[in-house]
Amino acid sequence: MNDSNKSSNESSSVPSPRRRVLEWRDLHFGQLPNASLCLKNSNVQLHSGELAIIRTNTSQNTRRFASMLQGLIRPDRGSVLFGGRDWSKQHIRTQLKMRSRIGRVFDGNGWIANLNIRENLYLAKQHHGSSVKEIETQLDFWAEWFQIGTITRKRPSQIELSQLQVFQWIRSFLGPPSLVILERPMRAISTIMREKFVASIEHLQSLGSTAVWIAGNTFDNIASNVKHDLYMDLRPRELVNDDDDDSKTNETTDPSDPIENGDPS
Amino acid sequence: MPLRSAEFAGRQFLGRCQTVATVLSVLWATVTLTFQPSTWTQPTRTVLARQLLFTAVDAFALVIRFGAAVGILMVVQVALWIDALGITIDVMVPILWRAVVREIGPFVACLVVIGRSGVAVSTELATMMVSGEVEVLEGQGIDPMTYLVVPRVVSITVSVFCLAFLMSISIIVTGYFVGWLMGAIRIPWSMFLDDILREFNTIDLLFFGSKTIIAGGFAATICCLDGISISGTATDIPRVSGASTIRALTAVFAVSAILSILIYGRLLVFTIG
Repeated sequence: MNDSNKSSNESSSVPSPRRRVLEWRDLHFGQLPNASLCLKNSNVQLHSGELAIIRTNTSQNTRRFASMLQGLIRPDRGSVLFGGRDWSKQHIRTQLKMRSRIGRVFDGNGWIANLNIRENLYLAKQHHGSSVKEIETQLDFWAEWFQIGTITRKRPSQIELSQLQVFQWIRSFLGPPSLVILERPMRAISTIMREKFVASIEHLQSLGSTAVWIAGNTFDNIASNVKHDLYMDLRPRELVNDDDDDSKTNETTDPSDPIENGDPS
Repeated sequence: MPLRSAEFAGRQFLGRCQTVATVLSVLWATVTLTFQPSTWTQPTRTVLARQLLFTAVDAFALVIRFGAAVGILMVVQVALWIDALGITIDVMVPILWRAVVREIGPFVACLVVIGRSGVAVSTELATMMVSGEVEVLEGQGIDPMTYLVVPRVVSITVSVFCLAFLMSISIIVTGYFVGWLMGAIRIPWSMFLDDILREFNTIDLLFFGSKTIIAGGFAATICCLDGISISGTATDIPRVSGASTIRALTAVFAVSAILSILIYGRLLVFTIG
C-alpha cells in the first residue's frame, strides 16, 4: 500500500500476516517531456492478495513502467523490490527466477511470432520446470473459465486481437503468479468478457496473487469499479478530464482507502 | 593533422579490439552455458532442434550441389596441372585431399551456412528485438542468451562441421567421377579412395575440426550478437543483417588465416607436438 494511505491492517497496528510482494521506494522514473509516464518520490507497498489500479492515459507508454516493476529497466532513482528483494542487487539468475513468478499482460506485442499460441503459453512455464501435465491442467481451467474452447495451435498473427488478449490473460495467470502486471488488459476485449476477467482477478487474489492493473483506455474504466487496495493516477494534469479534477498528476491517491470508506481490506 | 590521423587510427584499433573482446566474451559465455545441463530446458532443446533442421538438414542438398560444382572445378584444374607438369594422378591426390579437407571444404561450408542461416539468424533476432519479443522473453524470466543465442550458436557450429564433412565427400566423389569420365583420372575408385585414406592424418583432423568449429562458432556468435544489438526500428534490420553477414565472413577469413598461420607456421603442431 501507499505509505501515505496505510492499509487498515497497518493502521490498527495488527501485524500483517501477508507478505510484501511489490514495493518501490523514493522512486523517480521518467522525465518530462521525454517520458510520457513519470513518477517522483513515489513510495508504494503491495502485499499478497492486494490489487493496485494505476490509471494512465491512452497516449502514455506503460510498457517501460511495467518493465521497471519487473526489474528489466532501472529507475532513474530509488528502488523497486519484489518479494522484499531489490531488483538491482540481485544476480541475473536470481532475477530470472524472480521474474518466473510474475505474470504479465503486455501492452502491445506480447508474443513470440514464430511460436504458435500453445507453444507461447507453454514456453515460460516449461522453461522454469513445470511439467506438461501441470500446465495442461491450468490451461484447461482457464480455458473453461473464459469459455474459449481449446487452446489454438495457430500463430499469434493469425488470431484476432480480442482472442489474443484473452490468451495473454491466461498466460499471465498460469502458476498462479505471486504478482500479475496487467497493462491495459481490457484492450480490444468484448464487454461480455469483462466480468469474467474481474472475477478471474478476484480468484487470483484469493489465491494470494498481487495484481497491478495499469488501466489506460476507456475499456479499462471498469477497473475503477473493482474493489482495490491502491489507486494511483499517473495521467498528465492537462489530460485529466474535468470530471476527474480531484485526481492529481503523479500523486498517489486511494479512493477506496479502507480507513476512509470503512471497507476492511 | 598527423595527431588527428593517429587519434583516428587509435580509435579504430580500440574499436576493433572491443568488438573482438565482445565476440570472445559471448562465445565464452555460450561455451560455458552449453555445458550446463540447466541450459537445456525443453524450449531451448526445441529451438536447437529447429535450428539444426534449418541449418544442417535443409542444407544437405544445397551442400551436395555446391560440393559437386567445386569438385568439377577442381578436377578440371587437376587435369590441367597433370598435362602441364607431366605428373600422374598419384602425385595430385594428396594435394587434392589436403586442399579439400584443410581449406575448401570448411570454407565453402562456412560460406553456405553464413549465406543461408547467418543472415536468417541476425534478421530474426533483430526483428525480435525491434518488435519487443526479447522483452517478452525477459519479462517471463527467460534469459535471451540461453534461449536465443546458445542454441543458435551450437547448432550453427555443429552444422558447419557436418556440412563441411558432407561438402568434402561431395567434392571428392564428384571430382573422381568427373575426372574419370574426362579421362584425367585413370585409376579405379577403390585405389583412389585408398590413396586418400592413406593421406589422412591427425593434422588434417586438426585443420578440419578447428576451421569448422572455431570459424563456425565465431560466425554464429557475430550473427547473433549483431541481431540482438540492434537499436532502432524495423527499417534498420536489412542494414544490420547485411553488415552482420560481412562481419561473419570477415571473421571466417580471419580465423582461417590465423589457424593456417598457427598450424602451418609450426607454432602449434610441430613445436608442441
